[in-house]
Amino acid sequence: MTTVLFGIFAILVILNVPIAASLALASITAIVASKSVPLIVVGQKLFASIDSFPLMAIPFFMIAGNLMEKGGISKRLIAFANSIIGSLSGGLALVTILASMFFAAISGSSPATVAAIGSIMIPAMVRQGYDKSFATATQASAGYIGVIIPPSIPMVTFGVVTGTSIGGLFMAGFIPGALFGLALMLVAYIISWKNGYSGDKKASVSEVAKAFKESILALLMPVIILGGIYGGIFTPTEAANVAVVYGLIVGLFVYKELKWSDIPEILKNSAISSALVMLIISTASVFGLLLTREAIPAQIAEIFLGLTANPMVLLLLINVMLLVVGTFMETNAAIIILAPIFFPVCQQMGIDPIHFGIIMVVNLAIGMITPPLGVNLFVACGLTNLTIEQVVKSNWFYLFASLFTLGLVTYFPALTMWLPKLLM
Amino acid sequence: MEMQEAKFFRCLTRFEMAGVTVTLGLMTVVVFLQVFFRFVIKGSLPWSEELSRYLMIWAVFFGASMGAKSGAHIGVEAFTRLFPRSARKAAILIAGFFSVLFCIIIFFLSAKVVGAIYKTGQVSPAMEMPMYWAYLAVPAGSIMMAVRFLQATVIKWKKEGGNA
Repeated sequence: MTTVLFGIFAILVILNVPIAASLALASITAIVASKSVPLIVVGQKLFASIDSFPLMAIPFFMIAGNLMEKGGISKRLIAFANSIIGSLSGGLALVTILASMFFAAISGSSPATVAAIGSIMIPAMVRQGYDKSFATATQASAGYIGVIIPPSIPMVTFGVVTGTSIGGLFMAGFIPGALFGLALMLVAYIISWKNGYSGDKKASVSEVAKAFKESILALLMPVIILGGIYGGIFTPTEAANVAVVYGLIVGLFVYKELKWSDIPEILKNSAISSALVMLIISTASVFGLLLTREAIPAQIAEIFLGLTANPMVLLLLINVMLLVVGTFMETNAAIIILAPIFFPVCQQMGIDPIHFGIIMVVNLAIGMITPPLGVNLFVACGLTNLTIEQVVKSNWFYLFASLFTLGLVTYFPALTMWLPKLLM
Repeated sequence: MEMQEAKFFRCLTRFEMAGVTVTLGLMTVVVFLQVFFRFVIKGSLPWSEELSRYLMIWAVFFGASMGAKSGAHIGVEAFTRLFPRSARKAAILIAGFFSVLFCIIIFFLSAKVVGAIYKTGQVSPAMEMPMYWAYLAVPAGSIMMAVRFLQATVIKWKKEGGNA
């Protein structure tokens, strides 16, 4: 049955059938072939798996991100980032990365970050004489930080599937997110310095203060979200809801760039992007149910524990596997299917659930920029009409820096665990 | 014929738009009320969580239908890109076929669930609303999605160069 399940899934994926449909069709075929569970369970599970209040954080964060983008926030974040580091070598590339980090603290998804910042910054870099493939690679790489810096949709998914605290995961993502940002900026700086990409003129203190004041309402949003969750004031879903209301007020009444007539379009776009993720979550749950029925997680756990008793080696094995999976699999689907497999193994080895959650999300995020299949590469290529090969050429250094940082995050648990432990 | 087709899709679009705006809009209001009541009025709403969950599920299926139309459902394009042109065209039809098949199967399976719940007369715990109203989102959404996948496949096929 497992062969049928994975075989059919692989064939459908190769044929570019949507992931949700591939997961469901593979599961249904496997059920028909093996008669292990009644088919009607599929109908129930599709509903029951998304009938969840914690998962509602996903559409709310999507709406909040879209509101912020339309409401003129991304522009202000870019201006603020530019006033801080725009004057260094490769200023615009550094600004792209820093602004993506700021935006990541509002939005929970990687494609949203690429679209919000990239649509402004890639043309800006090209105008300044940056190599187009370098500009594209910079944005593709900066985009994955969107799911590492909280809030993060994959962290919500991981929390719901494994019962780990979503608030704890959010807090734990902060320092690793900042580290990845720094690593990418270092690469951008060195490449720009070698290519002679000069920066903007240095901003005066008063200019920095002005840019900060303009963007303060956007920068406050993560404080409200995380402070609210940590202060025990609201659940992550309620925090996401408050973010929507906050974004609405700021966009409509403070910045006044948002119009009531924009709202249906924003809701439509948010509904589409949340629906894609939720449909994948719901079909992946059916797929995952079958794996559990076949005791696959237990078997894989046994194999891994047989290979090594050393948590360090185990983490290396898991890292490699997740990176490979992350290059071709949608992040949330990978979490729903793989988290229940690896989670028990990690618990037996004494790895903290929050630390493991961060490792998983980070790996899958880096998978988004790993050639030949990384999804961010495709999204960024779509923005600039370059071929994958052209972008990959400029992307190697970013990838190496990311892998190095991944090593740090994996083997120094304090980097993830310090903040949540301090606050809990 | 074409006129009627265009009219049909216009109606469907309007229906989806209305559905999405109402469900997501209400969901936002309901959860905000939940927070507001707890803080300001110090009382909790017994029905807010349940209602918002069901609204979300409806929103997901409306959104899924709109996503099918705009070709937003994520697949893995990396392999079909490598195919020669004729094979790529065949792959469009195959992917479209399986997407529609997925919707039809989901429609029948979930309709069965709705039927069963209708018969038992099950109501939701907090609002005591008939449960089939919530479950109905799945079959209703999958039938809309099937139509949209069909439409998207035809459009994509034409873009790749017609019947040649």
